[in-house]
Formats: sequence, structure tokens, C-alpha cells
Amino acid sequence: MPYFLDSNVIIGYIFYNADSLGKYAKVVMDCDEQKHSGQTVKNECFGLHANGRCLTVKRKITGEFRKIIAALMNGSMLNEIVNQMEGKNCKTYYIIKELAETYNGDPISLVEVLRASQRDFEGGCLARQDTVDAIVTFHNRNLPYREIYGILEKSINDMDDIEVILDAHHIGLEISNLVLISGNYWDITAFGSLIRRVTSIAEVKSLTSFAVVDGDRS
Amino acid sequence: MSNSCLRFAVEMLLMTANPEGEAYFRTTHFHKMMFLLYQRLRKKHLDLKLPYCWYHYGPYMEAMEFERQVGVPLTYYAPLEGPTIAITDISRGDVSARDAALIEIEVRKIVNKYKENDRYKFDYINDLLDDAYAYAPFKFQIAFNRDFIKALGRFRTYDISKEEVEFHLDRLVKIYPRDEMNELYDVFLEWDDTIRLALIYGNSLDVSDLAAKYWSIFTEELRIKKNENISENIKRNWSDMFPTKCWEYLEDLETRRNNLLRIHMKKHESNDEVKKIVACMNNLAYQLSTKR
Repeated sequence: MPYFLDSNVIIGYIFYNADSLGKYAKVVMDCDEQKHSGQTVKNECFGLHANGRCLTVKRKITGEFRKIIAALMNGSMLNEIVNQMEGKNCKTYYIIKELAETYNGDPISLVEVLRASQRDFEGGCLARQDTVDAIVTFHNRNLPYREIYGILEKSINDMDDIEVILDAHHIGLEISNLVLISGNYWDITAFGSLIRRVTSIAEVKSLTSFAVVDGDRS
Repeated sequence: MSNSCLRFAVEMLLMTANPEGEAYFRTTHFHKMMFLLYQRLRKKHLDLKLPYCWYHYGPYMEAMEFERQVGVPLTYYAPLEGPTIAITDISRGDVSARDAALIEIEVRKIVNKYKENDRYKFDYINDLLDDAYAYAPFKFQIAFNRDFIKALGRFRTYDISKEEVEFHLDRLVKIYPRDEMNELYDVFLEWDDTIRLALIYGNSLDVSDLAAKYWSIFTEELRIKKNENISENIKRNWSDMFPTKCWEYLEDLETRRNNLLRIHMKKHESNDEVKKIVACMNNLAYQLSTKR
């Protein structure tokens, strides 16, 4: 059955981590089914002008790593850097704090490890984004489907999630048996029966349901 | 015409430096020499109010402001192509005899500085650039434009090693003017890592091209911040154009960086420690991306 992927599937895949929902996203992406998605998801993940969540978060994390590398090259002490990071509420604080215990007194090795890590992190994300670009077809929608929107908005609070459902509905009119896959329980999968009833979507599956497939395969 | 002193200085300089309008004195020589004359005269308490900014190739007179002040287009004196024009008559305007004499003396001194046996020294443009850059607001400009770019020229001809280029990059990281050019600091660090990747996986032309493009965007911001005697509307126009130029630059940098990262991922094997850190980074990225 063809799949329609919500943004959390794509984000989970791009920031793949065996300890997060990313492991289920990988199962979805690795299977042979056709994969579709819409502009709402594409904009959320990648943005119209390189300001989507994936790039913004990737830049934030690598930017912090690069600033630490520069500070170490400028002779700042590691414990000073860690203290400043805590004060500035830096996102990578816990990662660096843990590394500080191993590398205290060896800034040259730490610079090498940080540089290699930020490159591998970015390179890995890029490779997976290339895969997304290659195997997911993003469709445009040119109709508002106001009647369906009106029904869905009575139950679903998040307007963006309704737009995602309508994008899937638009594709479902052309491609039969479309399965909407989402990691968002509260605004999408919890309303699976409503979505099936009022749209062309054949099935709504939770991303975590792919854990069973994963278990069967192993 | 509101700045007769500047017009007099320009014409005196051209008549002294290049009386026949010959090819050895061109636009770049003119801009740098005018800037040096301006600095010298300022030390003698005569302010030419030279309308200039620090730009791609150092201090540079702004054409629109120049014409506004002098009443003659800058390109009349220094056409975009070819040498400066031959000046036969100098417009004195309301310049006092004392100021005119001072300008004439300083013009002669400055022109003579770059001559040997009554002829310009070979490649005197480099001396002019070094002297002009001595007034640069940031050490970073000298390190980048006068040292690093030159080093990349030697890298292209295999005269220096990759490690020597990295040494220059390390120095640039240390002296980047973070307080005054903070808007481009993240871009600088991304560029720094990208050019280091290009040193491993690219060729010397990729490295030079990355350097030239970064210098171009840095100096777009630099001219907004480091200029004198330029009207607000011109500066506002530069500021308005900057976000688009920066966005185009970032797009180009990202394309180049991604191409290098793709090669990196194919050729490079990471160790367990790095894999562990990358897993933490992915975990953090996922958490941040899915947080509404």
C-alpha cells in the first residue's frame, strides 16, 4: 500500500537515532512501498527559503559546535566554555559537558573530535535528505477542501496537521489505498477513524506501529 | 560643487602621478593613492572629506558620493577600463593658497614614494595596497586579503603545503573581529570548516574560489560599517541590498559544502567515539525538531 508521510517521519529519518522514533522512521523509509507527501510537510521540514526545521536545527547544533572549536583554538579553557554554555542555555551543553570530562587538558584532541562529529552529523543528515529527495514524491495541492476542513477542525486543534491531512486526501483521490503515517498521536492517529470516514485516506498508522515490522524482520 | 579641495587634490594627484594618461597608473592605483593622500593630509589637519569605504580591494571611493561632492563623475578621471586621464588644467576653486601648497607637497611625496629613478617601481600596486591596508580597521582584513589570499596563490602553484594554508586559517579564526562583524561570525565559521574540507577533498581552485566568495560577502558588510563621508541614503541602499546578497552567498556555500560532505561521507571512516557523539547530536536534533 502506498504511504503518505507526515513531517515527523521525515524528521525522524533525517535525524536518525536508534533510541528515538527515528528507528521506526527508518523502517518506513527502507520498505519498498511508494512514498508520497505534501507541500505542508515539505515546507515544515525543509522550508521555502532554507528555513525549515531540519536545516534550522542542524545549523543550530553545528553552529554551537563550531563556536566551541573556535573558542578552543583561541585558547579558552574548556571549563570556562562549559560554564558559559550553561549560562547561555546552549542546546549542546550536555553533550559538551560529558566530553569535557574525557578531554579536559587536551583541547587539540577535542577540536579534532568535535570537527569530525559535526561533519559526520551534517554529512549523515545530508545523505538521508538525499534519500528522501530520491524516494519521496512531494505533491502540490490546489484545492482547499473547505468542507472536510470544517469537519476536521471541530476535533483537531492544530491547523498545520489539518493541512497535512488535506494534502494526503488530495493524493488519496488519485492513488488508492493511501496510508497516512504519523508519529503525532494527539492530533492525527487518535482521529484515525474520523480521517478515514471524511477523506480519501484508506488507513492511518502510527509511526510506532512499525516497531512490530521491525521486530518481525529481526 | 561643494568640495573644491577634493577636486583640486584629485586633479593634482593625476597630473603628478600620470601626466600623460599612461597605462601604468590605473583605477586601483588612483583609488589607493587618493586614500593614502587623504590619510597623510588628515595628519596635517587638512580634511579632504574623501567619500570612501573599505570594500573588496581595500579603500575605495564611492562614485555617487564623489560626483555629488566634486561635480565630476569619478569615471571621468578613472574610466572603468584603461588608465586615468591626462589632466592639463587644475581647477583650484576656493581652495586657499596654503591648502593648495600643502596638497601639492603631499602629492609629490606620495608619488615619489613609489618611484625609483623617476619611474614607478615594478609591481608598485602591491606596495600601495600594503600601505593602504596598514590603515585597515581590522587586522583580519590584512591577514585575509594581504596574507591568506597571497598564500592561496602559492598553494595553487604547489609552493606551499595544505598545512601552511591551515595555519593561515587558524590565524583567521583567532583574529576574526567578532564584536564588530558578529552578524557574519556563524557564516565565517561555516566557511572555515568548508574551506578545510575543500583542502582535503577539493582542488586548489575550489579553495581559492571559496576564499574569494567569502571575502566578497565579508566586504559587503564591511563597507556598511567602515566608511567615511558617505550620505545616509547610499549606506541605506547598501544595507537594503545586503540580506539578498548574503542569502545568495549562503545558498552557494551550502551547495559547495554539501558536495564536499558527500565526498567526506564516502571516503571517511569515523571512530566509535565520534559515532557516539553523532548519535547524541541526532537525538538532540530530533527532540528540537519535534518540539512545537
